[in-house]
Amino acid sequence: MVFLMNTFSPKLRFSTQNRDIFLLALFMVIGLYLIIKHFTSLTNNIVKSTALQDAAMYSEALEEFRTIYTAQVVNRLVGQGIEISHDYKNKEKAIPLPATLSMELADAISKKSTHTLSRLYSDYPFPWRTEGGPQDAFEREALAELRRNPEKPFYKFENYQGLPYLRYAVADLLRESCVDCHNNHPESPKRDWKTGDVRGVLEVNWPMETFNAQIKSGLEKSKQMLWVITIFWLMLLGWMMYRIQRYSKVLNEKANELAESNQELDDFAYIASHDLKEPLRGIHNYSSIIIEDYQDKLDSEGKNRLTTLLRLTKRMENLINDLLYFSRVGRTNINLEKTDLNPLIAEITDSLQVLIAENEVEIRIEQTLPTIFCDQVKIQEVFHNLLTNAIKYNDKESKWVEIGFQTQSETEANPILYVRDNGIGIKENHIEKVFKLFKRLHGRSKFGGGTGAGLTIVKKIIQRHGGKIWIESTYNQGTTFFFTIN
Amino acid sequence: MSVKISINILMVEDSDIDFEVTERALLKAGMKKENLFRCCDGDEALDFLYRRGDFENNERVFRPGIILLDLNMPGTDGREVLNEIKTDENLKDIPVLILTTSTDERDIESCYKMGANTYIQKPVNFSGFMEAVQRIKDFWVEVAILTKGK
Repeated sequence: MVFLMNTFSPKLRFSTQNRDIFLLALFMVIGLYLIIKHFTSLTNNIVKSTALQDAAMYSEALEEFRTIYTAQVVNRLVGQGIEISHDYKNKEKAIPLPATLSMELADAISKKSTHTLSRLYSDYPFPWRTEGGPQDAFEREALAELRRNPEKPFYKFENYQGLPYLRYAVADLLRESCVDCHNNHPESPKRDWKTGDVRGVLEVNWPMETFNAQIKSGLEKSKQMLWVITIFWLMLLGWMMYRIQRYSKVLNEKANELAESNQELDDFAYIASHDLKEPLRGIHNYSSIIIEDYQDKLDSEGKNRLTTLLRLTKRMENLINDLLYFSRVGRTNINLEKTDLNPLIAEITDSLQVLIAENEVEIRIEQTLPTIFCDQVKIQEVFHNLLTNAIKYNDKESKWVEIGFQTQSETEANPILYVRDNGIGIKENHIEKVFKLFKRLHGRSKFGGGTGAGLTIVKKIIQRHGGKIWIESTYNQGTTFFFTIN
Repeated sequence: MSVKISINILMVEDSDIDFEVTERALLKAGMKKENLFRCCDGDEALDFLYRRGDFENNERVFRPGIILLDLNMPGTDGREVLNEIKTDENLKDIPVLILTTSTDERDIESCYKMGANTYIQKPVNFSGFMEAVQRIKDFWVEVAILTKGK
């Protein structure tokens, strides 16, 4: 039961899949949200910088126009009997003041297309300008800020007259062409202006409404597109989920079948151990009782045959036990532990002391063996089997067995372990056969006998560790068993 | 020195040959035949212990000092018998020695958890089996001190 429970847990697998799909969908929605957010902020930034550029260009154009008008028209007409006045429309022989004309130009442009609202204001307005002073918080702030730092335009994105605007203010510097007039004009509120003074502020209020509308429709389209893509993705995901669920169902069924057949196999092994052994024990015991109780009635041939019968039952028991053990190795769990091979090998050679002494074998361990991750008990079994074979299958005068390891390559950390002997060797054509269950190469009584399951179990244990085992052998000279553990 | 009291053993075993060999070993070790009683399956063993059914007025019934219990038996098997004994206030103090062919880790673990006093695997080997039974007898009859019961 223990190994069955650990072999498969299909339900766990299934819920992992569902969780993965849920996470995928979640990532997708989060990703989409981030894309839209990023897109929106990017667009906003572009719009803002575009508006700033436009406003800067516009204010520059207005300034330039005023400068040219002042220099090329107004200054030429001064002293020619032509009055320069804000009220030029109601007077004869009068032309507009530069500021007046530039404001009129701005108004005209605004009405035509841009809806830009431009204003000129100052803390020293001419008396006729009723709104010549700063009118709101932004204008006061702009005036103060630009006095401090005339080079740097001052701007804010805020609502102006109930609509979204870029409010862009630049310092209105007194040019050389203007200073005279401002200092000599009869109604001028200040008369000590110098070139470069901040006379006031030129403010351009750039409407964002049209921009915003455009952006909104653009963004809306992009969002729609993204949603369509998302829906498509989700549909694809749904379809994938459906497929995975279907496969999981099949997989579940297969896993259950496998668990069932594992159970059957386990039951079979159990039945084999108990039900087959019971009659076997019966045969064995009755034979023993007959030998004991009828000793004087049996002749020596009868006794010999009964002894053979006993030996056969013993052999059959060994075969059943090995079969049982082999089936268990394939299904019990491998408990990986960090294992220092040196004490492990010492323990094995200790337990084989009698066999080693009987066969007069020299055990050679010339390297300090590595520490590996493995199932200690099972790897102990591997070495035990390989060593026993190496000791048993040797007919040389001086026998030795060497245990050691080689490194595989620079990239592969797991060593190749080996057990080498100078024993009888294996003929080329028999090399693969030695791993077959109950396959022996020699007569039953030769080389200490055995069922022929040892190497099959060794191979199984190594396979369960994800490793490989192979043989290099020269007939009559010796054999080396190499194996890796991953 | 105390007077040696003969201990009664109840053996629950369905296999005739296993019973025969066990009996043989116990007799050889000095047990008397009348101190050994055999039940062939779990139901019979429970009837014996509770003095019911065939054993209701049977004068051969005794309260066993030790129970030797096989696990795999037809009908009520050894595991159920063990559980019954170890959950019964009047019976739980009787040592139960599991004597079985099962080498299954699950059986070993669950038997000890249920309160089995020892778990012995029947050796296939005749002489090994004889020796094992003699040792069991030596320990539980000669060495261990058991409750007398009522």
